[in-house]
Amino acid sequence: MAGQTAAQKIIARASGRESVGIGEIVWAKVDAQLMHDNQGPYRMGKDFKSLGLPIWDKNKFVLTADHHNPPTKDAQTKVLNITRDFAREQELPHFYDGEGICHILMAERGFVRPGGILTGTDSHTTNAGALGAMGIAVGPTESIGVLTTGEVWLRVPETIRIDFNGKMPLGTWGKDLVLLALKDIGLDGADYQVLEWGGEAVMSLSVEDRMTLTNMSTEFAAKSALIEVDEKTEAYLREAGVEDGWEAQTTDPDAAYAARHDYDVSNLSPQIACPHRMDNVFPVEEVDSGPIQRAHIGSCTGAKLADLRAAASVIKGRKVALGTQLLIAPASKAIMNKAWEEGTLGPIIEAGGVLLPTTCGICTGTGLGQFGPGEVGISSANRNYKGRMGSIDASIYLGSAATVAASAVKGEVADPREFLT
Amino acid sequence: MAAATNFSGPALKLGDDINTDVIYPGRYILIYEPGEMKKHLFEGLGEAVAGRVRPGSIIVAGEDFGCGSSREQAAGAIQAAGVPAIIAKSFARIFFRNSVNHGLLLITCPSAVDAISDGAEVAVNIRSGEISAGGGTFSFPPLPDFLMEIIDAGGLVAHGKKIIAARKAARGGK
Repeated sequence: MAGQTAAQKIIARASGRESVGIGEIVWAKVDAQLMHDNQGPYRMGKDFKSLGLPIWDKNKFVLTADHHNPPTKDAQTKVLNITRDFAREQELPHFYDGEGICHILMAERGFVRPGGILTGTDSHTTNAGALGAMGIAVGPTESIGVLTTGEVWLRVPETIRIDFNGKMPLGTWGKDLVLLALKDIGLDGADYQVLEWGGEAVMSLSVEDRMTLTNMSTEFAAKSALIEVDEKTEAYLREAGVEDGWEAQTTDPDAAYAARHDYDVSNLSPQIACPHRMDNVFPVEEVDSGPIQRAHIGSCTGAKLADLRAAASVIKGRKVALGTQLLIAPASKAIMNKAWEEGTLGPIIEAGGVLLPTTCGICTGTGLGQFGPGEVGISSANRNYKGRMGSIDASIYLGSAATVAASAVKGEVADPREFLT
Repeated sequence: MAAATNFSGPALKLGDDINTDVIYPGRYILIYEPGEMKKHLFEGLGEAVAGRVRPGSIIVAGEDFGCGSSREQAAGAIQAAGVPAIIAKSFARIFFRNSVNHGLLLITCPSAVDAISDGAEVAVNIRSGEISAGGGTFSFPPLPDFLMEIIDAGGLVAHGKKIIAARKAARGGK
């Protein structure tokens, strides 16, 4: 038998097969299903109930209220109440109301296990790959199928391997790696495929920082993403209460990749995605944004504890520039609490940061602090399409949380390295 | 709404990487009524595109149509506008799944996309897997049968109901 990719092995296990071939369509059992308020009961509740079937396994189902929470419009209140009613009616044991952003909750509450498959009604479900699991996005209508059967049809995808070699230079994080790859590979560079991230630089990152790579794999149109499991992953899993009951998968040395990309990061500069595409990427030295009105540290992509630490390392003892507002929305309550306790969040607030709820907020174009018409801003989030964070006439730059913090201090898109020694 | 076997209509030609934020902007994310959704279709592409969608229009697009968010309204709004099918060089995978689950037909056919000009009359025959436009004929690979069954039923929920009804009938209506 020819060598198998990790993705093939994970899908084979889930479909009860010895092996699966690239391009085959198979039915796979899912290990967990995620749904949130925005693509959840408000949309699929009636259709779900019309089938008259029970949820296949409530212990494997996570529902979050994170996209419209807390509400700023009556329509959002309605969505949240429908979400809560569904959780009550179905007696869901894992409903998280304002506790954090779904993908981060899935990881930190132990619903992501290496070698497993999880489906979620959100494009960034690929985040789970940092823990060696295949996270695959589905729509709310499709989630009815998963919820009633515990299975999903999957086309076995090809895998693209991306290796970052060399040591991470000062002032760079996972975000800079993923933006560099986006510049090269493009927004449709991995359609239907799996992105497998590795190499010395990737494995040197914290597990949370690795999530930035797998989280944003969806921006390449990838079906899923994977990173090999190591001691750091195991430590993260233990912290999340996952001791055993999982089996990590790795790609065989003789397995065929659809493509390979190798990068040497030794001289990497912080990278910036300029308006209005995530692959419109330049090194920070080449970016001249002019004055910015907003700097945003938030989302499942850019507000984990590792991101807050990066921001604090830049901004501690400094002040946000007059005319710029720094918004900070930690990705979960647990992260916010840890950041307070260890003294990471305090200095960001001291510098002038405005603390927002631990939910999706402006990254989904909802909540407080949306970009207004003509405004320019930078965010540690994942997308800079026109209209993503509010007005269709705003301009969004993307960078690491450290770059966002440096930009807030300078009042324009700025290089974090000048604040780090 | 089940997909018709044969249909034709004018091409509305779009480029590459048409993302869900321009197909259906996030600020309308709470709207699911078909009549309301279609009012905001392609709003992010401006009136030049949004104002030209008519029932029967066939969208013809480049690579990675539907990239970005998993929001289902991107497929729902297109269907609500009466578009019978989208022909593209490739589709973003979440959009592909959402469309199947809504009963919206997607056709992957790069050669046809290159040959079809904006506004041209396009005829599609699903059974033979052929597109006719501008004097040319282009073949496309059919979707697997089980996906066509979902599309023919009018989407995943309607398909599920058919299966449940069939099982009940097999058990003698109990």
